[in-house]
Amino acid sequence: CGAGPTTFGSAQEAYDRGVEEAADGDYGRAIEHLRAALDFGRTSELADDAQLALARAYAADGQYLLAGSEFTRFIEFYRTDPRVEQAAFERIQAYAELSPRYELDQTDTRQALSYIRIYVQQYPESPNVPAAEAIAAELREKLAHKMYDAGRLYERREYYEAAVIAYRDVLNEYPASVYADDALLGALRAQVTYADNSIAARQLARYRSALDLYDQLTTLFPQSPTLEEAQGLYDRAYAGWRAAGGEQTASE
Amino acid sequence: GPPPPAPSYEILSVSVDGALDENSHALVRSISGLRPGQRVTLPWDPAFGEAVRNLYSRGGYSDASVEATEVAGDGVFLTINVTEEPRLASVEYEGLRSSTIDDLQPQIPLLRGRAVRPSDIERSELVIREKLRDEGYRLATVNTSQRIDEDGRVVVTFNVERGERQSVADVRFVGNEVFSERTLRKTLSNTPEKRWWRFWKRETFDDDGFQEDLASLVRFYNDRGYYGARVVSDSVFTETNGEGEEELVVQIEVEEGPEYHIRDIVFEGNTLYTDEQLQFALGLQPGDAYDRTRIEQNLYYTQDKTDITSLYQDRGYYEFYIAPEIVEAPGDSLDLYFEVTEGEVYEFGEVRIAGNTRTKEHVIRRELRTVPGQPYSRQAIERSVRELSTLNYFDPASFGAGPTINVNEEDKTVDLVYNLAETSSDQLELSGGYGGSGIGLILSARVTFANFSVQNLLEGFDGGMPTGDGQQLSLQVQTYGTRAQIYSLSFTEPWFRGQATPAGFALSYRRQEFSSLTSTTQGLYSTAGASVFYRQRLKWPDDFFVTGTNLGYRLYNVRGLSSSFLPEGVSQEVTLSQSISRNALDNPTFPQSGSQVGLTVTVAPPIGDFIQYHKWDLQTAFYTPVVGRLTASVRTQFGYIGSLTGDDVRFQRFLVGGTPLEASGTSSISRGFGKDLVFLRGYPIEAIGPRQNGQSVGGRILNKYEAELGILLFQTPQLSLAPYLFADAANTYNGFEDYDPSRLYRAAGVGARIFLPILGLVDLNMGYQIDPYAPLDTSAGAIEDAQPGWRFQFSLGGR
Repeated sequence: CGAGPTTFGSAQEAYDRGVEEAADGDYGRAIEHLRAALDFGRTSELADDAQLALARAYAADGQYLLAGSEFTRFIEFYRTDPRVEQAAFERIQAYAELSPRYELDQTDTRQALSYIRIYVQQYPESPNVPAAEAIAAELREKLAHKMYDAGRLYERREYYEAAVIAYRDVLNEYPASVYADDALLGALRAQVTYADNSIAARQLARYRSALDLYDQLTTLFPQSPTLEEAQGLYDRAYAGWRAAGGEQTASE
Repeated sequence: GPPPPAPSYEILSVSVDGALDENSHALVRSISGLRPGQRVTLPWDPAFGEAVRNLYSRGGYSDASVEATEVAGDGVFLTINVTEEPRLASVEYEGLRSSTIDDLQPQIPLLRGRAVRPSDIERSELVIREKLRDEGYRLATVNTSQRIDEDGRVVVTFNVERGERQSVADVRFVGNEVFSERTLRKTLSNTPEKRWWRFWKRETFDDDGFQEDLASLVRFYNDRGYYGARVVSDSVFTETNGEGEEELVVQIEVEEGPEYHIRDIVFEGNTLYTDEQLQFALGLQPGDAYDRTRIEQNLYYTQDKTDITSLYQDRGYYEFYIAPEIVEAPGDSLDLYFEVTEGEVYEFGEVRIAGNTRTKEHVIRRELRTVPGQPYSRQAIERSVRELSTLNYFDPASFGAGPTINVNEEDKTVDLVYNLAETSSDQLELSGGYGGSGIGLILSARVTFANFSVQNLLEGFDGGMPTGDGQQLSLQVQTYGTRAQIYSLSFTEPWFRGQATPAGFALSYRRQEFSSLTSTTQGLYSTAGASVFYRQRLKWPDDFFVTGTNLGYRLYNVRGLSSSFLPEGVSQEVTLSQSISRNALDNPTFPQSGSQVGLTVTVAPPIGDFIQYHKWDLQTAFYTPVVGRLTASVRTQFGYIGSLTGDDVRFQRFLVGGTPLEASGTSSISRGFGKDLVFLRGYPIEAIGPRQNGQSVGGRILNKYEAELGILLFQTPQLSLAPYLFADAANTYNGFEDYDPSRLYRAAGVGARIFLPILGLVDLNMGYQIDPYAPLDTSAGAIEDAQPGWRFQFSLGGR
């Protein structure tokens, strides 16, 4: 305490000033004064109010990392407070704001998703649940995009097996994503090329997997625009499968 | 029937009894978690137990209990009874130097405002005694007293008697017959004897170090066949020497035992490799003397990955384990049994990248050798770490220990998380001024973005910096009014079209005007160039190889400088060059081992009146660790430039000497104009090579040798420092008729490479020029001193 240029006689005075400044949109000053109010002690009568107002001021100021950790403090210190649910939702919003574009570190995205999971479990009746789920869908889309990109990178680098794994993971982990059908197409494409480049002894099974991927694609995404390219890949896989002795095995 | 439900009451208030002040009351209430409005059962509620537990686990309270003091209707008044333990006011030290106290304080587990626990006092005394022991005061005693001050708080005082400092005067061995005391002493690196010539060092006795020493003493024997060697006893005592001083003496009694030889080597449980293959990897045969370190290394880890664990772990056997069992056989023999647990083949599963707040994932993932679906390989992990350090975008401390590993037993996969911490590798140099009406703007600006992103630049990237795609962009502007100007721009995309094929382009323009002393005409040097290049990493012979192709165009303009060796007027050239190189250095900035070899062939075809030549350039560098971080290195460069048509070649000849800094800047555009500058320590720029009219015109054959002994003293993200000794020699010759490889210009001296993030690599050196060179007639007409002597040089940027 005493760090700021102004000192206050009481926590109430600092708190009132902070709330006023936040209402006026001067979040920098608001944060300073709400911090000062908290410096009087976490146990003062208005500490819970100050804590929540501080978290909100950080969020309004665009300092989402600090906002997130101040919301967490509120949630953990004042477990019985009726505002905990709302604070938990605002914490989700703060982490969603922190989540960067898909090419960068997604630690905050995963953190937001994990908070959403907990939130929906704890407050299934809350009116915020649809909004939380919408955020989750958006964040999951980011992770799906990231994984799809990894598949494309491996395919370009001719690591076909790795490409198939990454593409399939998109489908397995984010089946509702807009990338799901493209990923399945990618898996098919990589699998066919993988089989093409395999030793003869392995080709039969690998073309077989490619045919399975095609079936999966047509079953899951019958309307997908990817089917046109998939058709050509199917023909290639089928020809390969027959050349590798597939028909004899099938007719036996 | 069931008991009636316990009556429930609403808490009306919570008061505290036993705490010191109102603040503490509030704190106790808060810790307890009991709040007005909450409903509890009486006489007891689980929340009361929780409250007491919270208070105890917080510390500083004893005898806590919760009591219902009054019941009113369905409301209850609660009281929390606590005894607050006395809290620490301050810690005082007597008999210690303030520097010692500063060192101690972070380790003392006493915190102001916290309760003082007896165990913390004991721990503090121990910390003080150990600290003094490390300083050589083995006889120190600590007496602790406590008093309560006027606020009711505790003041703890440590009263220290240091006693005399003792250093080790003698280390004695008893029972050694095979090895001399002198030899054995060398194994005790932590317990050196006091020697008069090491007067600056206090050879104090360090207990932990001594225990390590005893272990390395036993290992010393074990590595030489003495399997049964052991330390029978060790003692440290004081003795009075001839001058009546108390001295510390260390005495070690060893039992050497016989020299053991290996009789039998048996492997059990191996299916992937045969016994012969494993025995070969073990590097020992029946009849050899026992060698503990060799066995351990060849079982578990060797630098070149020929150890048995690597043989398995680089082929997916993640769980592989080999347990040696040594059985004594009659006649000083040993049988070695190795129980091999091969386990199952694991594959890399999910490979995740975290911490990249600026660098895009594909820039990192494309460098990783740990690819999902491929067999687990320790070597792939190490190679990935090496590639990450080559990028220079991340703090090596963040990923140096390798990725976090998560094993899935079910599907036999190994998931990895690479945790990275971004550092900036961008560089910026700026200076400027106004030189008055005759000159104009003087400006020097150089910007290098090591992790540029054209994509972000085009997108506008939310107003942030265009970084993260791993491209390199560098821009340079230098002007000295209109008289001297340099502009250059270069761009590299290291993964052109997503493949490991760097491509890029460079543009440059420079000009300098001269006022000639002999005539009224203005002299002018100017040159403009453009080039595109494309490089490709090869998979064969190994993936350290890179080939490169460069297509370039350059225009030279020389006016009014009749003394110049270069033709007057405009000359142009088109060049096509092809290079092949192999870089297997362990570190790009401070290599300690590995090699680098590169050959470049350039052809300038005789199109029209264009300049023609062919040029060959071979460079090698070898680094090898000597001991610890001491590294020896040898670098060579050989060059040849010849004519395609038989006409004389005047451009692109080799000029030897100086540093890149001497060649840069607007005042020295004429330095090496149209020539190939080869830098050499100990000599000024252009000093070495054939002469014409007192000008250095450059040679057509180049030989250059550099040898260094360097040590990487320390390496941190803020600063790295590597001093070195060097010996260089080089010469350049006009042609084969003039060629004499033994006629070299030599230099030797000392220097240091310093890495600062903002400047990049800085090289400072003080070199002695051994051989005199033909004096140079510089453009100003002055003759440079060409006699042997010391010369200080420094340069910025790459080596």
